[in-house]
Parts: sequence; structure tokens; C-alpha cells
Amino acid sequence: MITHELIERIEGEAVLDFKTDKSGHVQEASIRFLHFRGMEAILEGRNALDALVIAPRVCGICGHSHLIAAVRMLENLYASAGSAVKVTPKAHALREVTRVCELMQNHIKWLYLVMLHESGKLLGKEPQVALRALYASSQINQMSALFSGQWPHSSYAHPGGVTCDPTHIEVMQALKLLSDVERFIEKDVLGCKTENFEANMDVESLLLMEGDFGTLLRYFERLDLLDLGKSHGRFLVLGEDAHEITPNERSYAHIDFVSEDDSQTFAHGGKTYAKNALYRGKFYETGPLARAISTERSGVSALYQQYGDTALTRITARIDEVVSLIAYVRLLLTSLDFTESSFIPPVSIESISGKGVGVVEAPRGSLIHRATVEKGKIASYSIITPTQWNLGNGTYDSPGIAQKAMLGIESTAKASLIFRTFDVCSVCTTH
Amino acid sequence: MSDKIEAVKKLFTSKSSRVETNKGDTYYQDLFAKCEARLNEMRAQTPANRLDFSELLEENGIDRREFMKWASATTAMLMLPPMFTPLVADAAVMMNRAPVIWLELQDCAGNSEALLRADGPKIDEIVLDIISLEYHETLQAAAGFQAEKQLDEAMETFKGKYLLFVEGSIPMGMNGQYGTIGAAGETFHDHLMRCSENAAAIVAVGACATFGGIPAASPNPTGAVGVMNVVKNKPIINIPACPANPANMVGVILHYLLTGQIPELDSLLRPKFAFGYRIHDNCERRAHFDAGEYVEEWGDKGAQNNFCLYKMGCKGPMTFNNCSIVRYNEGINWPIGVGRGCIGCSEPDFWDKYAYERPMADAKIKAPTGGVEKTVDEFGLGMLTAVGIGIGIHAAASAVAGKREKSGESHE
Repeated sequence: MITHELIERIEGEAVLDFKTDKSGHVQEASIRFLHFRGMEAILEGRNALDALVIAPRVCGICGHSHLIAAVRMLENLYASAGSAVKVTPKAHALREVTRVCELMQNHIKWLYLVMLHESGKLLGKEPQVALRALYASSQINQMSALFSGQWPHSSYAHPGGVTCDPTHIEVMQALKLLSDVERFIEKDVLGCKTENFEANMDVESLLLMEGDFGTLLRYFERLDLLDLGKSHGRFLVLGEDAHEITPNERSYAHIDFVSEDDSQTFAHGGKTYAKNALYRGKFYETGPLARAISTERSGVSALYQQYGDTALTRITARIDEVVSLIAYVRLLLTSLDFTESSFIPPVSIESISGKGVGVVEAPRGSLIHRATVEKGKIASYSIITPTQWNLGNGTYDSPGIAQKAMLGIESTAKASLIFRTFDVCSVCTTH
Repeated sequence: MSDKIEAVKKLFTSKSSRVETNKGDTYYQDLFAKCEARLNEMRAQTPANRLDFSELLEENGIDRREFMKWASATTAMLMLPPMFTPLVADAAVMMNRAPVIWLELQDCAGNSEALLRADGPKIDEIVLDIISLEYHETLQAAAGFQAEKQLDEAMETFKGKYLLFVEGSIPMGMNGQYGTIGAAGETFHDHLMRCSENAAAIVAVGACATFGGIPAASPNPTGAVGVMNVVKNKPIINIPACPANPANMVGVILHYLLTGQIPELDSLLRPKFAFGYRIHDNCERRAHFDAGEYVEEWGDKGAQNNFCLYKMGCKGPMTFNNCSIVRYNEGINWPIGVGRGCIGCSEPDFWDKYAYERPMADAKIKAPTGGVEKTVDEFGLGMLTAVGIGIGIHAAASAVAGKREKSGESHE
């Protein structure tokens, strides 16, 4: 039997087409994205610095990651053209603060607006209005806006640094917001101190947790989905701390092995605007779970050893990432050296020609911007977004990451929920 | 170059930007009586949903005093005298009498994020998102087919009464196939037409829905246009910017609730209460402009001392919006606050005409002059060809708005 499932409550809309057997189990699943804007074509021919304003608009929820990817691409371009750009530790730290703020707020929204909501509905529960969670994520956005000007869509980073010059006052405000957010995570999300969470990451303890994260895992357990959702077990981190991890091997990853495949797109008679992103010609999972394994965060790595890339591990990795990032942001904020410059001017972009690549770990995984620039003008621009990795549309013999995870699930509704554990985004996937 | 700068400087330091906010006692007394009558009418109506506003405020630790402070600030934003504050507060409590249906078309969800998840959930958000939102693809409880059904039901239940908020542009190329929605693969164009048919008014939110935004930037690969290029027989209110400011979205709804009419608009269909200001005139760095103190390069002494960003390509002098007053993210900051110039995102075609690295004196843009109300229109006329359409729609919109007011009952 063939059924179509619309996936909303994401940025935009996705369509899942399922082939099920008589008992309703999923035998095949394909993923379609039906929106397109042509961002790459819009970037071509413009001043290379315009990418700093245009690229964030690829996505309203992870636009800041696009800004950082664009600025890294430009700095890489400068370096390859022989005019390396200097960035002070202060400017780098500020970019890191705003980059990871985006990760944190994204994961909180995902937990409350998507996961608790959708899994609760399958169990016949009335969805709650998650005001407190929205409030916490707005505080994280404020923390980011203190340095970046606004969220979404800020453009405060430039090749050479950042345009802001914060004082102790902004940093104190940010630390206050961070403490509020941490209290929310401990009180509402975890139901315990962050230290206790990281120390007791076995499935029994996790299922007993009092916070909303525990509730989500218990919902998944009741739905018999906790140990399902296994995919290929291939992971990739290309941004910070680049690694490729397969069941048998762990090694440094390199961008040269990345390719895009458009065989499933409308351009070639397919059914989607989304291109597949491949590494060594294969689908790899990117995102919080890949990052947790890559950086060997102990709790999630241990869960992965025992349960593999199941819904349990994938969900926990996203929450664990928020917890670990709180400590990271605090460290960045408290070790800022205000005496350093925010910005060291590079030579004029008009004198620069060559190729640049910028890679960043965005909320949903590895984001890549590549461009060819001639005398400061963009000749070509190419963007590969995180969801292109995870939601790639493969074939029956070689399914993509999320496709594989949905195979064999007992109903299309449950398969859709597994699909959402990947934190679906459609606007950036097609861009 | 320096001559040009001097000339522009003279222009901008002369008395410009006078929005006539005081329309006289008689006008306001009259309006007050009308608003009171309107609110009494609304009070008698059944709320669109059963959520209780006071309860929600209480649950979120917002007390009466804080709420009244918000009401008073909102009253000022709507350019109304203080005596309207209690009415604005009453209108906010009755927001569930103004059902909102929110569509996402060719967008990045940035406006939804700005309103519903970045700036809240303080009072603005409770008011709009929780109380009055009947349908929003990202935020509603329903999803998939259930959501489609909910949209149909909301449109039927609130026929002729709902405000249709639209985020994102409409791709007209390839017969609209660059954006389709739902199981039947309805194009964004058809979806918009269907949903706008029974709307009381349409609020186009963000740069994309208003003037086509980034998808419409050259070479406009998908043939993207704004709502006003497609919908012709409905009142349209444009709230541009990328993202649009949540305060302005709430302001439009409150104004509608209070008066039963759409707010006064400029020739680009933007509410004057929000877009009657020039960013430059209320900018925190304005004094440095007047004193001739500029940032000459990112990170220089000028940048460290928060000097004017005009030479860094700031488009504040030619951009109409209230962000220098309202700011973003609960008023915590805005681009100028972190030393980045304004990119002019609430003006039409800004991706192609404003760019942002080029200082204004070097850009081929005619700077606005004269009083602001006149300026907005003249400036718009000089700026783009689409404005002809804008005026046409404005005229039509006002007429339709008036007619609808009168014929509203006969529809029931």
C-alpha cells in the first residue's frame, strides 16, 4: 500500500511517501521537499561581501550558522588568495558564543514544539502550550543579540572579525541570561542538576528523569520506539573537530570527499527540490549525535556503544549537547579579553580572486558554503545544508539516513515520528 | 566624495521627518467614542478560542502593572494619545475575537521565528500567538492532513472575519511549481488566493511577502512576487523588513480590533505608525552624524566609540521603519547597536538597490527629502516601478475596506 504523509510544524513542509506491507509496516519511504528559491543563483554576480547579508536569509532558524559559514568561506578565500585574514581570539570567541546560542535555542524548540508535541499526540495527549520553553529560547536569542544585533538574521561577522565591541555590561547581561537558561534546563528539561545528568547516563536513569526530556523518552518507550530508528551507523562532522566515523573506523574527515547528487530532483525527473549530500559517495549522518561521538562526550558515546544510533541515542545527544554548550558559552564569556581588537581590516575584497570554502557545525549538522570569486565578485556559490545529509533521498538498495531509520517501523505515523528525531528543516534543504 | 557627503549631511540635518501625530482633540474624542462602541460590540461576540488572557498572564508571572505599562507603550506606538491606553488594554484582552490565520509560502520562517519564538513569550506573544492564532503551519497543534482540515474549518468558522497573515513570496515562474503545499500539491499562488478570499484583510509580513524579498532579488530565479502583486480585491497591509518587527504585527491587529479598520498606510501600504519614521532620525548614533564623526573602517577608533556608520554603507537615512525605537529581541538590541549599518530591509528591492557595502553617497539612490509623510511616497515613487501598483492597490484597498465595513453584516 502507498500512503502520503505531510510533515509540518517544521520550517516549511515535507512530504513522506510510504510503501507499507499488509500489516502497515514501512517497507520503503521517500522524502520530498517542494519549495525552492534559488539562493545560489541570487548570490552569483554580487559583491562577495553581500553574501554576509544574503546567506543568513537561507534559513530563519539557523541563519546565524549561514552567516558564520559565509564569513569562514570569505576568510578561506582570502587565505587561498595569499592575503590571510587575522581574527583575534576575542572576535573568534564572540562568533562562537552566537553560533552555539543558535544550537541551544534550536534544540529546546525541537524538544518542546516538535517532539513532545508529536509523540504526545500519538498517545492521545492534549499538547501543552510550551510558553516557558519559548521564553527560555527567547532568552538565548537575546544573549546572541547582545553581540550580533538581532536574531534571526544578523550580519555582524565580517572577514577580519566582528563589528561589535562589547563591554563588561553586555557580558554580564549575557551571563545572567545564561544562568536563567541553565535554571530552566535543570528545572524543566532535566529535573536535576546538569552534573547529575551527565554522570548518570544509562537508560534506566534516563527513563526515571523527572523533567520533560524524561517524559519524551517515556513516551517513546510506550510507543515502542526507543530502540528503533537505526540507520547506517556512519557519522560525519565537518565543521569544528572534523571526523568521519563508521562502524569499523574513525578518522579525520576532509571536505574534498563531499559531493552533491541531484539525481532525485525535478531537474532530472525526480520528485523533490532537495539534493543529496554524500561523503565518499555515501550517506552519512550529521548533527548532534555525530558531534557527541566525534568529541567523545562520555555519556552519549556510552549509550551509542550499547544501543547504537537509535531514537534513544539520537534524542539524548541533542539534549546533552544543550547541557554541554551551557558550560562552553560560560567559559567563552568569562575568558574574553576586552583589550583585544574586535576587527583587523583585511585588504579590499576587490583585489581578491580564487576559491573559498567555509564549514560550520549548525544545529542540524555540517553546513558548507563554497564560492568562486573573481575580483571581489561572486562567480559561483554553492551551499550544502545539514538536512541534505540526514534527509537525503536514496534508492531502495541504498536508502538515505532518515529513510533507513524509518524502515520496518510498524506504522506510518510512528515512522513520521522517527523522521522528526532528525530535526527536519525544509527551507534550507532546498534553498 | 567629501562634497557629496557634505551635501547629504546638510540634507539630513535640516528639519525633516515630521510625522503629524496630533490630530486635535475633536478627532480623538470622536475616535475614542467609536473605539468604545467597537469594543463593546467585540465584547458581545463569542471568543474564537477559550483561552483566558488574564489567566495566561498570571501563569507567566506578568502582573497588571506590567501589562498596563505594555498597553501604554503600545498606545504610543500606534500614535494615539494616553487616554486610549485603557482601550488598548481592553482590546488586547479581546484578541481572541480577531482570529488570525498565518500562511507560510516561499519563506525562511524568519518572521515566524521573530514573532513567535524569538521575542516571546512576553505580552506581545501571548496576545498574538496564543490568543488569536487560529492556524499556523509551524506552531499549531495539528499537522499534516489534520492541519489542512483545521485550516478549512478556521476559514469557514471565521468567514469574512479573520486576518490573513502571509509570510513569504509567491513564485509565479513555471506555473507556480516552485512552491506547492498540501497533499494535492496546490501552488502557493492558488493557496494564497483560496485563503484570502474570505479574509477581512491581509497582512503581508516581512520583506518577501511585501515586495518579493530575497527570492525576488535579481535574477529572481522563481519569478517571486509579493502578495500585493497577486491579490487585488482585498485590503492589504504591508509590514516589511527582514524579519518584520513583532511589535508592528501586534500593532496592526490591535488597531484593527480597536477601530475595525486597517491603520493609515503610506503608498507602499505600510502602516504609518510604524513606517512613518526614518531610522536615521531616531538613531542612537545620530549625534555623531551631526558632529561629523564617522566609522571609517570596521574596528577603528570610531567603531570603538560608536560613531556614525554612514560611511560604512548604513542605509538608515533612507529607510523608513521604527526599529531605532522598538529595536529587536525584546528591545535588547538592533544591528546599529553592534556596529553594523542598516541594510534598508524594509524598502522595496533593497537586495538589488541598497546592497550594503557601498556607502550611500556612492550608491545610485536618490535620498529622500522634505517631511516624512510626503517623503515616503515621493521616495517610493522615485525608487521603484512597482509603486504604481502599490498606489493602485492602496486606493482599491481603502475603497474595499470601506465597503467591507458597510456590507460586513449583509454577509452574515
